[in-house]
Formats: sequence, C-alpha cells, structure tokens
Amino acid sequence: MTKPRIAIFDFGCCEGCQLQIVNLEEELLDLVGLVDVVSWREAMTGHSDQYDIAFVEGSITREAEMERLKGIRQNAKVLVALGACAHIGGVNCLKNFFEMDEVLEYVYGKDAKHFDTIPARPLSAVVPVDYAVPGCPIDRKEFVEVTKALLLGKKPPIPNYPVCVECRSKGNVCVFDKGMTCLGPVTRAGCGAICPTYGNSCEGCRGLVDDPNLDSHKEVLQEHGLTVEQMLNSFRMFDGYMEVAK
Amino acid sequence: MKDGKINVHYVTRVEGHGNIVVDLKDSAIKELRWEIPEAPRFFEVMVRGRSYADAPHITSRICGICSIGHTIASQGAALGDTRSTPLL
Repeated sequence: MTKPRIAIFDFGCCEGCQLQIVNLEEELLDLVGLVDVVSWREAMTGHSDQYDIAFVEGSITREAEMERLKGIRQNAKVLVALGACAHIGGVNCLKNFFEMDEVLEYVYGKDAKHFDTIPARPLSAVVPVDYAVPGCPIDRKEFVEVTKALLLGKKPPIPNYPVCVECRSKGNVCVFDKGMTCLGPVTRAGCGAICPTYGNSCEGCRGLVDDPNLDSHKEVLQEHGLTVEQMLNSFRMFDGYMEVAK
Repeated sequence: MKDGKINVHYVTRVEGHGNIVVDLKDSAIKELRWEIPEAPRFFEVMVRGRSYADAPHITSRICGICSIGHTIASQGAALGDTRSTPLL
C-alpha cells in the first residue's frame, strides 16, 4: 500500500502551528513513518504538487494568495485548516476593523505603496475546507489525533461542547467570579481550558461551538455587570471575522 | 560561473519567507538581493484602541518562535519602559 502524501503550507501567520508539529519530536518520527511528507517549507527542502492531505496554516491577506490557495485545494483530496488564522481568521482580522488604506498608511507611511493587503479572512472564505485543527496555537496532541483519524478514514475527533465543561472538570474558579470577562461558555473545547487554568480568561481562539448559546452568554455578562461592548472586544481578538464580533 | 543567475526561490527550514537572487557578470556580483515576500500583518494597527492588557496577548502572535520576546517587549511598553534591554 502506498503511503498517504501530506503537504503543509502557510499563508499570513506566525508559523507557530507548524512549529508545534516540529515540536512533536519523538512522535513526529512515528508520524512521518506512516506518511510521505512531500512539501513542508518550514521543515524541509523539496516540493511536489502530488499530495492527498494538505494542512494549511494562516489567513488569506493578499489578493494573489487566493489563487495559490485554490491551487492547493485542487491538488488536495482533503484540506485541513491548521490553527486559528486558517480556521477562523485569528488575530489577523483585528485589522479588518480599519480601512485598508489607513492600515497601510499607519504602518508604512510613504512606503505603503510597496505593500498590498486585503481584509484578512479564514481559508473557508475562499475555498471549501474539510476539517480544522483549531487553536492559537494548535494543540500538538490534537494534531496527532486528527492526523490519525484522517489516515484511518474517520472524522477527526474535535469536541463540540464549550470550554466551560473542561474548565469545571478541572475545578477552576469561574473567571466571571473573578470579575473578568470570558468566552469559555461559547468557545469550542479541546484545549483543556488551558487559559483559565493559568489565570487568564478564554479568548475564543478555537472558534465557537456549533449553535453557541449567545443569549445565555449575554445574561451571564449582565449578571456580572459586564457590557456587550466588552464581550465584542473579547470576540474580536480571534473571532473578528465572524458576524458575532461585528 | 562567469555569468549567470542564482535564484533561491524561498529559503527552506526557517520561520518566515525569504528569497535570494544573485546576478553574476564577468565573475563579479552585479546584483545580490534578499527579498522578503512575507505577507505584512499590521500588528501596530491590531492593538489600536484595545486595552494595554490585551497587547501582549496579540503581539505574542507576531512570531511562533520568538513569541516570548514580543510578549516581554509589549509588557515593557505598557509599563512605560522604553529601554531596549528586555525586562528580565
């Protein structure tokens, strides 16, 4: 049996999700033994357009990137969004709340003409995406689980319940009770509630669960004297592309 | 090589995107160019209008490898510390 061919690509991002894959270390060798990695610029030299599964990191932030992504979609049987930038747009979409001319001028001044940018968007805004490994950055163990499922022809096991479930099971004090705002009630779990566990609030980097109970979330905010504006601000950090943050 | 071009269209095994272009004429370098085709992401704009407390969480996403340096720089800026040395 021939091994499934895997390619890893990146667009506008920090490449930290690919780094999570590199950081698998011992497990990486087992994983590489099961597949043929044909393209992965961050970790190897060489490239082929013949691949079965494409993992794509980053948001689309330039006109020309759309064509490149469409090409990848054409070559790949399965396309997986890798990390928040590819999955939901991530922090890149924070610039979308400004005019693009203003964005260019603010950062590059008179040299702005050398640069090109469009409002940032997730992969799914340009091409159909089959699956996502959520998070900023991705959880490397979850990446292994997703890859294993794909190699076995199964649906990747991504939870569809909110972060609160994992947070409660860890026995954490609720972030709202500490007077902070939190996106845990509506954000997809799978991270082990890592941010609330270490004293921060959930920032929603894994995107929303399917059918989030936003009305209930608003009630929780009101109970704790927090405003909808504070909630929108929180959503914009990672989920600015979504309607819920606009 | 007396005349010719070397075109390294993207350097591999590195975080970030770079191309190297070398143009040789009579065994001398006529042109040597380092291109950065990386998509600009505009972090300076991303933090505008947000709380100083959000800034380290955003700027740590500048780079997947040196996120800690960007976090510390951002915290230093919020504290009004403009020294170039890290706050350690």
